[in-house]
Amino acid sequence: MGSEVLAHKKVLVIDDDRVDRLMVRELLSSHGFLVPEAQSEEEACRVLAEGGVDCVLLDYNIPGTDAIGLLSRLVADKVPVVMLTGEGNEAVAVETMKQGAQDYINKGRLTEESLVRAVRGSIKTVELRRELERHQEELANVNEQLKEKLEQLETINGDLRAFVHLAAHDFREPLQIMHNYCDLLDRALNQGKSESAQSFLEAIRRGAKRLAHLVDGLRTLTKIDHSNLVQEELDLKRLVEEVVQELDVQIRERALQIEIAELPRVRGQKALIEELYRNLLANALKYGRPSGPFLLRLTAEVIQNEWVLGVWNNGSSIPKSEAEKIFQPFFRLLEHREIEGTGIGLTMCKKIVERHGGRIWLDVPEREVAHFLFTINGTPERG
Amino acid sequence: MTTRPIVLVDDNGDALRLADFVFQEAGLRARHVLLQSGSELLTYLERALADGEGLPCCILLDISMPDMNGIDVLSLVRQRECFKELRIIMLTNSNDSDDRERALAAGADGYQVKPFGLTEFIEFIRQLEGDFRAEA
Repeated sequence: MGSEVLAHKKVLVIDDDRVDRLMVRELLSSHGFLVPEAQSEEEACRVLAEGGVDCVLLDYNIPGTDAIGLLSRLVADKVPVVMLTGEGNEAVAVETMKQGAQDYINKGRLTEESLVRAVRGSIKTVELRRELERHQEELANVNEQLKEKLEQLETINGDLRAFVHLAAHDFREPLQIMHNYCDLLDRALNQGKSESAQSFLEAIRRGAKRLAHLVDGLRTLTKIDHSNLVQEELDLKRLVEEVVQELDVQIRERALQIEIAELPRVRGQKALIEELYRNLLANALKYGRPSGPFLLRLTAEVIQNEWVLGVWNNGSSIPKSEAEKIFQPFFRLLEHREIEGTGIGLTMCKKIVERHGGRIWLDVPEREVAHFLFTINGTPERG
Repeated sequence: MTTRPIVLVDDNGDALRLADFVFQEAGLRARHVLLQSGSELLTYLERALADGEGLPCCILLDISMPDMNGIDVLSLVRQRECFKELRIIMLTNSNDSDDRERALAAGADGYQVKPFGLTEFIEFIRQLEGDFRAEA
């Protein structure tokens, strides 16, 4: 079985003694080995340079050749070497083994069996060693990847903890208020004060509505995180027009004038990109309070070979100093406290953009103007 | 008898209306002032100082507020030498040890999880007034 596996392996014999070379060649050839020969280091180097040598039989005693030097070079190249030594040279043989030779054969006692066994054994050992090194390398790679994954998990875990902390906090507030208003309602009903009861009921309804908004927001957020991203080529112009159509009633109510720039085709998940535009438009409608005409622009320009898309509106009261904070979950501006909102919409936008490998930021080019800008891996090629 | 008011700062309108009821129900002798943000509190304090009408006997300050949270407001108030002795109790929705430590480190005199239930709330306010009387 072994001979079949090792058949056609190339074994280079380096020996200045022609008879010895011939003998070795005869013996190995009969076992299917290819046996090129070299009688000097120079010749050996030529054969080795051609490549494909699986094992070297190296005579220790070639005049003018530094056998140990040649051995160490072969060992460094991971070529298995079997030393051929003369009678009574056991000390030398042991030394060459220390230098990395796989085996040695005393020429005086050379038999077909010992020769073939030494060659096969050496080739096998070096092959196994190579395989081991390959596995070790793979293992090191896998370890490295595991380490990276672990670090990512730790970050996600930290984010999640912070998020749950914020969520728990935001859920408890309406619950506490509702609970206390229930107590108030109870008293008002007992005392027959129906007018007060009505206003307490309103407060309870507002709390319930706020909780419902929070739950919806959280559900959408987790959906963005866990659903598979199925990207397709999107005609952004058509997509945006559909979103604008959806918000038609509010747009007309607020007399919002919309300008749409020439928008590109981008790759993305349709539902998510729609959600992104829906959120940014709804945001502008909700928080834009201009003194004059209410304007909204859907912008697109190529910056450093990348599409930068945007939603611009006037009448905004977001101060420049809050530009980063507004993407944090549950963050709300003081000016907006009487406006219904959960502080989740922009966090959702950030998640959508990041899932597409892009980034989002807020530019405040002038007072009372908000320009939300984002990238979603779009290649600059107008569609 | 003290006329120094007790001040509550909370961004949530429903929470303020609720507190208004609780203060009345608790039979507080001190008047109470309801404010909706940290900047309103700072303006109020500066004016009280300038008018000589007397600083509040106690400030109940909600931690979770938009823009400037309660702990930031607390730090700002404490920066003024004349406000160092003001009695400020932080109100919060969660009994979080980190929040508590941050509040106390920033100079809070107390830390109170918002009472769940009207009876508890009224009891908390009564106790608070009892504390001022004992001190007076």
